Amino acid sequence: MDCQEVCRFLQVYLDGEFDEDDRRDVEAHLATCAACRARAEYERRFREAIRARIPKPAAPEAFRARLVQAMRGHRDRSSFPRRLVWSSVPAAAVLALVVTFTWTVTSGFSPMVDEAISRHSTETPVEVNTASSDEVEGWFRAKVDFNVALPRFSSRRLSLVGARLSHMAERQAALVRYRQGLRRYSLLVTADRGEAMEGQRCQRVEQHELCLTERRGYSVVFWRSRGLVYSMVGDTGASDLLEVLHSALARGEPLAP
Amino acid sequence: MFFSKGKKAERRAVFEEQMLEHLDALYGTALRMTADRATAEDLVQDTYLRALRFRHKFEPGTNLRAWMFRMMVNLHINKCRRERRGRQIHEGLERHDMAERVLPSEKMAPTRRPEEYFFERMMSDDVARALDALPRDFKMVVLLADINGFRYSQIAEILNIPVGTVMSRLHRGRRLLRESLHAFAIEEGYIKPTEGETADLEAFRRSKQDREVG
Repeated sequence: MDCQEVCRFLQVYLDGEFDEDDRRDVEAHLATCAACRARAEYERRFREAIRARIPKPAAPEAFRARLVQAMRGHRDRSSFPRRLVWSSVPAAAVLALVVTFTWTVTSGFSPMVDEAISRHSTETPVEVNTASSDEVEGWFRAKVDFNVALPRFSSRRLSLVGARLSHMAERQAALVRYRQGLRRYSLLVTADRGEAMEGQRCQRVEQHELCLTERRGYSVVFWRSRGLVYSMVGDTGASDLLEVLHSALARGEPLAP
Repeated sequence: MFFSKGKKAERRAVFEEQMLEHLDALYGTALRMTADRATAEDLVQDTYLRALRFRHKFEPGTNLRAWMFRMMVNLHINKCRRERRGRQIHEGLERHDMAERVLPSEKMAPTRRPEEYFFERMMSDDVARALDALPRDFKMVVLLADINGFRYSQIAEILNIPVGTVMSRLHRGRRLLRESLHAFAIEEGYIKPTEGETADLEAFRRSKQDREVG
């Protein structure tokens, strides 16, 4: 091999892609040619420098945990009827809950619904980035004039993304973002001023009155608890949103602790 | 029957565990591909769920990491395509084709002075910035070869391109990377441009070498 050939194939040689014969040819040339040796050294050091300096972040622990959960959920979904997978409670209890879910229809006028959808669909960044409900509750403590308490959802793939300050019906609101695969959910929590609950259909489930509206491809559920009004919005149909709420209810946990 | 079900579950658990061994590599690459943590996490999660769904298509004994990378790259490309269609923007591919056309033929930068090892004084951030600035096609081969240590044939399979294309993209990608790092190095004062030399030092060297060789 001459200098020109070595120059042309130097990268291939350094990448370890040459077979034994070609490799020996290159090395024989390098042993006698200082210029090509310097070139090879330059290339080798460049590659090493890049390799050593490219950040190689490990996957965050919270993400790893979510991923493992998601894989487990995927496993369950593929081996059980879909309706029964979102919770680990006995099937009978889940069925009872589903069966008692019949709705009463109320008035369709609902400016709060539009506001909730607007807060959900606007891609505002979160101000606190954490997957922990406790941390989110703590973060809001000195920032709003009510005590934010979040439901503990147990739906396998639902994960908390973070939260930010927001507003709703001209008062402060805690906006909490969740994600389930590609789906996004937002929970707005505000102080309860005793207005009538809005929704196309309302239903009492356990100790909560849930009011549901589907609009422009979003679903919104309102409920109130201990002096707070909650609105949960999802860019999904009502059944998916309710499944998420079920996941808290089915464990016997209130929608607001 | 119960026995075979138990065996199946066990095989699946082993497969899941093997897949998780490659999580950091996939996540790190996804971060560089998407430049956004949430999108990278979505991409990696979708890759794992898809890999689980199609695990019967994985041939035992072949490289699981390469198989998963291929899945991730395909998911990402499909997603980008969907988004591009949605927004009616076509800048991506065309720009890369252009970059490939206007680049001069492969030449090595000769080395003369110790400061030419300027890259050894660069910071991680500079390298990440330079890599992120590469056209996507070049960035992918550099990521796969230099960061993840895949062989040409594996990269060809992951990206579904011929081995020759892997080689040319890799060599040009590395050179583009070196050129932008060199520009950063001058910009940030790691090295001083000497008289007659501007930030386009590499271009100067190339033309000089062209004269020497030609």
